[in-house]
Amino acid sequence: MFDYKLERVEKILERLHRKGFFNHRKIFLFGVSENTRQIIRILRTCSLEPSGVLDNDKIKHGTYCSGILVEPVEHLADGKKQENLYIVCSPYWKEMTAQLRALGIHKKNILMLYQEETLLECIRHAKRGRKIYQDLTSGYGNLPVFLCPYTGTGDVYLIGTFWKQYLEKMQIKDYIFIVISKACEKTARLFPIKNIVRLDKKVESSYLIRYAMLCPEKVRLKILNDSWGQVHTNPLEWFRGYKGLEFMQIFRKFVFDLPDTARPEHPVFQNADKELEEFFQKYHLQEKNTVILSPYSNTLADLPDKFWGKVAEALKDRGFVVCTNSCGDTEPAVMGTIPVFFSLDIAPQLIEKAGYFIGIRSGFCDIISGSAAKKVILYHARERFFNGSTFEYFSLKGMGLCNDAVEIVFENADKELYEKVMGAFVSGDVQLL
Amino acid sequence: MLKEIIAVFQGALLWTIVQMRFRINEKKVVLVLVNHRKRLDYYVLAHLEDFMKRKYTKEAVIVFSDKEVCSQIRRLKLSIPIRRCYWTEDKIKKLYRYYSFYKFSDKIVFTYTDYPKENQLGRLLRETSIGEEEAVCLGLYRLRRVPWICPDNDAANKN
Repeated sequence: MFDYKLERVEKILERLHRKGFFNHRKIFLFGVSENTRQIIRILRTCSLEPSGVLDNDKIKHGTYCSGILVEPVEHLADGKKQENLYIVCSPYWKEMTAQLRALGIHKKNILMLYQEETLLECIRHAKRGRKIYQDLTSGYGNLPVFLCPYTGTGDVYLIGTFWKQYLEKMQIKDYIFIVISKACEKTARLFPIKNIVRLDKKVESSYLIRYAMLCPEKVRLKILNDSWGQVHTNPLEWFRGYKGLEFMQIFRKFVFDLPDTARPEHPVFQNADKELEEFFQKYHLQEKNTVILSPYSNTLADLPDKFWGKVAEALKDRGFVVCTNSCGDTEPAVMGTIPVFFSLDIAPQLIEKAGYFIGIRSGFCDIISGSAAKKVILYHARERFFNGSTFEYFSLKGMGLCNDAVEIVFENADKELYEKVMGAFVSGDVQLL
Repeated sequence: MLKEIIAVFQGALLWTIVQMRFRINEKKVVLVLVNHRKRLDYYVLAHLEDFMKRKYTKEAVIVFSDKEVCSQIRRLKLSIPIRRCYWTEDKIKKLYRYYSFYKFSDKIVFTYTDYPKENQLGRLLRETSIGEEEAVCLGLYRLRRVPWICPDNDAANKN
C-alpha cells in the first residue's frame, strides 16, 4: 500500500480498536500479501494478535505470514465462525468477500479495507504526474525516464547488473533514473548509474505512471519491472515462475530485451577500508570470524525467532562473533546477538570482511551476492512466488549472481534445518539443499 | 492532456451504455473479443465458465467486432446465459482506451495482446513457449492455473 493508503488503513484500525470493535473477536486476515503483512503490523501496535491468515492457495497452507500460520479458507467451516472477524484488503476483494459470504459469513463480520480509486482521482493523479514529469524534464532535459516504483533493493541491484549492457544495446547515453526509497538509491549508486532521482514520496511514482497511462504518446517513461500492478493491461506477472520464466529470465527478456546469453555484472566495489575498520572497532567485530544474520524479508517468509536464537548461540559457542542486520524496532536483533546497521553502499565489502552471512532470502542477499564470503541463504520450501517456489524463482545461483552460496530449502524451523545450517559452517564447501 | 481526458470520458460513456443496455451488475461478466488472435478468442470462450466461477457470476455479455464469434459460441455449446453485442473495432478501441487508463471493472476482459504498449501478452505468445490457452487462463482470466486442455476445433486452427 502507498503511504497515504496505509495511513488511512491505520487510522481506521486504530479508531475501531478504540471503539472496542475487536474486543472478544478472533481476527483472521484473508490473503497472504504485503497488504496483509502491513495490517498485521498495525494490529500488533494495537496489541491485537490475529488468529490466522487464510488463503486459497494450497501451496501456502502451513507456511507463515508474519509469523502467523496460513490456513485454508475452508477451515472456517465451524460453528464459531460468526464470532470471528475477517479482514480483506485486496484488489480482488469482491470475489473474496463473495467467497466468505458463500461460506455463511455474515457481512457484518467482514471488514473490507481496500480502497479503489475513482476515475476523477485517477485523472487528478495523472495531472500530478504530469507536473512531476515536467519538472524532471525541465531540469534534466527531454531524456528517457526510467522508473523503479518499488522498494525492493534486489530488483534495483538486478537492474544495475544489466544496466550497462542495456544502455549499449539501446544506444542510450543520457537518461533520468528514478527510485522511491533511500535504500534503492544507495543500491543504484553501487553501479555507474547517473541522474538518480529519489522521489519525495513513494506515491509520486504512481502519479507518474498514471500520467503515462493517460498520455502514452507524450511520456518517455519505462517502468523497470516485468509487470507492475498499477498497469493492469500487462498480465505478465501471472507468468512469473511459469515454464522457465524465473526472475532473471523474465527481467532480462521483458525489461531489457537482452539475449539469454547476457550475464549479470556485479559492480566494482569501492574502497571502504577506513569506514569498515571504524565499524568493526565500534562493534568489536572480528575480521573473517563474524557472522551477520539477516532474518527479515519484506516479501518472503520469515523464520521464528527461536530458530535464529538457537543458531546464534551455537555459533557463539564455536567462537564466532554474531550480529544481526537490524534497522531498529521493526527488525529487532536476534537474542544474544549484536544489532548492527550499515549503509547498503558498503554492505558487500562489510560482509566480505566479516566472512560469514546467514540470511532468509531477501533483496539484501542480491546486494551481497558478489561478496567473497561464506553465504548461507534460506528459502522456505512452500513459499511461493506466483507460479514457482521462491527457490526456483529467486535462487542466487539460478540468477547467475553467485555460485558459492549455500542455498538451503527448508520445510520447518526444525532440527533438520538447524543441522543443515550449522553443517554449512563445519563442512565448508558442502552444498546443502 | 485534455484530448486524452476527453477520450477517456468517451470510453466512460460507452461503458455506461453497456451497463444500462445489459443491466451490468456484480453477477455478470463482460468479454470483449477483438479477434486479432482467433485462437486466443476461442480459448477465452472455452474457459468462460471457469472465469465466471472464479468471479461468482451467473451471466456473460460478449462484445465482438467479428461475427464469426457467434458461430464460435454456438459450436462451443456453452451452458451459461450469454448476451451478444456487435460493435465496430473503433468503438471497442475507445472502450479499451478508457479501460487502459482506469480499471472500471474487475469483471471485464479484453483480448488485446499488444495494446497498449505495456501489454506484453503478445510478446509472451510470440517469443516463449506459452500458448494461447495458458495466456487466457493465467494472463487474462488469472485463474492461477490452467484447468484443462481444450480439444482443438477447426475454428480455432484457422488462425
